[in-house]
Amino acid sequence: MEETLAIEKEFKLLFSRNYRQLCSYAYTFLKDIDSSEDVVQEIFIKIWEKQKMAIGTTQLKYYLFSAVRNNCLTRIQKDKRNFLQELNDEDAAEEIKLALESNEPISNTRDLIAKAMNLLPPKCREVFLLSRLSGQTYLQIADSLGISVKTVENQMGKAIKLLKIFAKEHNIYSIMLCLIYFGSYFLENIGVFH
Amino acid sequence: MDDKVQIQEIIIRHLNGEASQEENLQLDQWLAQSPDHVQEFELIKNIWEDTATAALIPVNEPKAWENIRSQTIGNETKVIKLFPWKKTWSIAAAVLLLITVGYFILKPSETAWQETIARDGNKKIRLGDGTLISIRKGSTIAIPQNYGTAIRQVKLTGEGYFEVTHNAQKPFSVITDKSLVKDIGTAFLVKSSGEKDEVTVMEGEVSFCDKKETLSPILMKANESATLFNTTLQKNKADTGNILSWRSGILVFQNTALAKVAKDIKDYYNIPMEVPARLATTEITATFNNESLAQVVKELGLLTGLAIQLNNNKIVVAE
Repeated sequence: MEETLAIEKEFKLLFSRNYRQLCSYAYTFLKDIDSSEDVVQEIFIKIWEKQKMAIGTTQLKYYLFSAVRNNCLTRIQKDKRNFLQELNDEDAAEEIKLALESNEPISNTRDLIAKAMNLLPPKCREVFLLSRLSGQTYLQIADSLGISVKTVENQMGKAIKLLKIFAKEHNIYSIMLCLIYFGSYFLENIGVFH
Repeated sequence: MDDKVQIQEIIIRHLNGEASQEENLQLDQWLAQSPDHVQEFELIKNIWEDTATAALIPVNEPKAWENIRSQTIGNETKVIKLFPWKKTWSIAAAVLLLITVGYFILKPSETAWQETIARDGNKKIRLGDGTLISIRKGSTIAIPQNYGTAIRQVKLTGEGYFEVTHNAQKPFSVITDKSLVKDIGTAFLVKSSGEKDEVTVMEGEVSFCDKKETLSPILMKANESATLFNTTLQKNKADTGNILSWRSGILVFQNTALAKVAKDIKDYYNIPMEVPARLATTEITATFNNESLAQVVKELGLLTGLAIQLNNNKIVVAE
């Protein structure tokens, strides 16, 4: 009898399209899944209470990522946790290598890449992760982080460069090619690569 | 070296969907130059694609949605919907029944009115005889506790749409502060605002007069409209276009002048729209189905090519 209102559908859609990405973005700050989900859920509830008019607009998606960032930073300040340690960019590639060598073997490409992303220099990582999780343009990222478009572009380039070095060193994507050539022989040995 | 940096920037822009046509062309040429370039491109593309999924953390989406829903949509459902088959409303209905019964026991000689306020959204109420009443957000409907036993009369403040189950023995009527609307088997809209009452008939026939029945009632048929203003009762040309938009969520414009569009939008979203006189006759053809105001404003701008913006709770139109 009572039809679901369009705004409710929009709201559900906004949630299902962005929830996991937003939590993942929150996680890059908070390093804790439960807190990340909390922060994102609070934002959705606030939107319903105060920004209902904006539901269904494209800007809202970008607002969501900014809101997650701000709320995470506020939360961290409250928790007085020191979450980012500035690293010298030049050290980053070395850092990735060292960190991986000291850890247990990871066989899965995505886990390797995730690990590598975590080891990017903080500023670079922040820009790169926001870009990959939100799909925003350079301009939107620049706006929400309060930096210049050129800086965004530089950090994106730096991230790719470092991830490339990492991928080559760890033969991530060459494994796929090798598989095509040598077939099942390698299947048993993928676990050795790290 | 500089070239290498530059081409990498272009590759990333390309992957992010931001490369210009010229840059895409440049990239094509670069790829055609050597198989190494293709391999380099493939490597970056693989990294690009994997980083989007690799950064995702496992979350409990259904649980999260349930939590959000219960504090947003679910929270309001309690107020908007008045149907006993919804769990929350069974409780509300039971409470209402208790109150009504209690009231009835205490004051058996007076008619008890059960009042329903559409506080947070439109409300639909199905009465025992099958009559369906929709009241607009902000409106109030009062239904007598003995509705249907002898008479079928309801009290309305604001705006309501009535789809009445016909019963010749027990005519249905709506009273407002000012007027009395009697149905003769029908669907009709009553809009009772500060200074005037307006009735529009969709189906069937109604009779419309002032509350004290001092004026001779007007008989109205489908697609007719009439207003009661002070002591004047008058038939108008019915504007059936968007008068039920508040109920359906659909706004339809067909070669409609911008001034009228502004009126309907104000009526629906309760946000004024200022149209400069010289643009008032600009015609618009569009259908908006349950869209947000922001979306409507955006689409109107695209349709007309005018600068239409939402600013400080009003819509401003400029060339």
